[in-house]
Amino acid sequence: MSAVRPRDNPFSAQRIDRLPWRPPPGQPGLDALLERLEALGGAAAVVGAKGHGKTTLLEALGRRLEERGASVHRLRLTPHRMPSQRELRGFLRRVESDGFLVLDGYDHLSRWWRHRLRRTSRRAAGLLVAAHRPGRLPVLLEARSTPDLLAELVKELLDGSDPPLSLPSADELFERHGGNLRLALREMYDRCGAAG
Amino acid sequence: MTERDRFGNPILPDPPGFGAGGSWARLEIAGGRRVFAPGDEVEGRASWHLEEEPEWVEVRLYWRTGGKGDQDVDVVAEERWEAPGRDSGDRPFRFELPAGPYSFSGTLITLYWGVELVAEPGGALFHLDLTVSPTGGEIRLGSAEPDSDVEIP
Repeated sequence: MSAVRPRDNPFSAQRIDRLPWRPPPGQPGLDALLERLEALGGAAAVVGAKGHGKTTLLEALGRRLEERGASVHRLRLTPHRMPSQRELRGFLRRVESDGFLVLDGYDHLSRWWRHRLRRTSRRAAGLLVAAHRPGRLPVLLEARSTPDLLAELVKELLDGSDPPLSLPSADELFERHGGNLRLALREMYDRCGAAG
Repeated sequence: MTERDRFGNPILPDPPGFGAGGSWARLEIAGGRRVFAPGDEVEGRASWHLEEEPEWVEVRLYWRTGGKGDQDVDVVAEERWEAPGRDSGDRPFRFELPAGPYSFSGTLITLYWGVELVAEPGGALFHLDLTVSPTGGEIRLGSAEPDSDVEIP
């Protein structure tokens, strides 16, 4: 495969971020998940390892809630992007009774802030978080990637073509990155950008 | 003669502990190992003396990416001690490495593993780099030069 310019790289971040969430085989779709969330009392966690699709699912659920008229309050926490206590307090104060809290990176909150978040969610329409571990929240879905899903995403990013033989197979990529799809696709980006 | 691990990599002496105003912190990994295979256990000891009483001290097993663009990081496991006191004694820790990702080095992106000791207050005080790979070395993805106007995912 010859080298491609960054903007033409099929595995660029912009293209990856546009990939829609898709339910794993035999798992419920977005509307069924929102019904399940309601049945769980309106507060639940999407759990799974990093790079297995939690954030993509959370964003898809947030958009679906907005389509249904809900007011969605989003917060994304990473080790590099932690709001101050003041910002967290401000975020929780803004939540109204029809508001839906959607928080990515629940694991990064201290025990005390998780407790406050769960309490605040009682006066909101609901709470949806993504986390490595569920903590005290019921599990809405365990996000788990598969080599088949990775192969499907690679093919989609290549506009339906099979990857050239010079690129590693989906099985090999999946194993090397422990199922982390984002890292696997980053490797493809690296290989496409570097090949020459 | 330099001691070597089971992959043939040299076992290097541990770096000296962090020191500032009389404080120090240190991590030691059993056998001085730095290279591990997925699923291996990373076992070691943490020790510290801190000038300020810590609320907690934590050892984290993490990976992070480096290169152009956003950095990605994941704390895979941690061992935390609440109100552990200014002097630690020896605190053992043990983590099981996941199946991946492997340590790799590409033209545009590199993935590093490590363990670090973090205190509150104080932040990250000490870290050791690790290699996680079934081959005993980081995976090298390519050797060509990167484009100059690369935007990384």
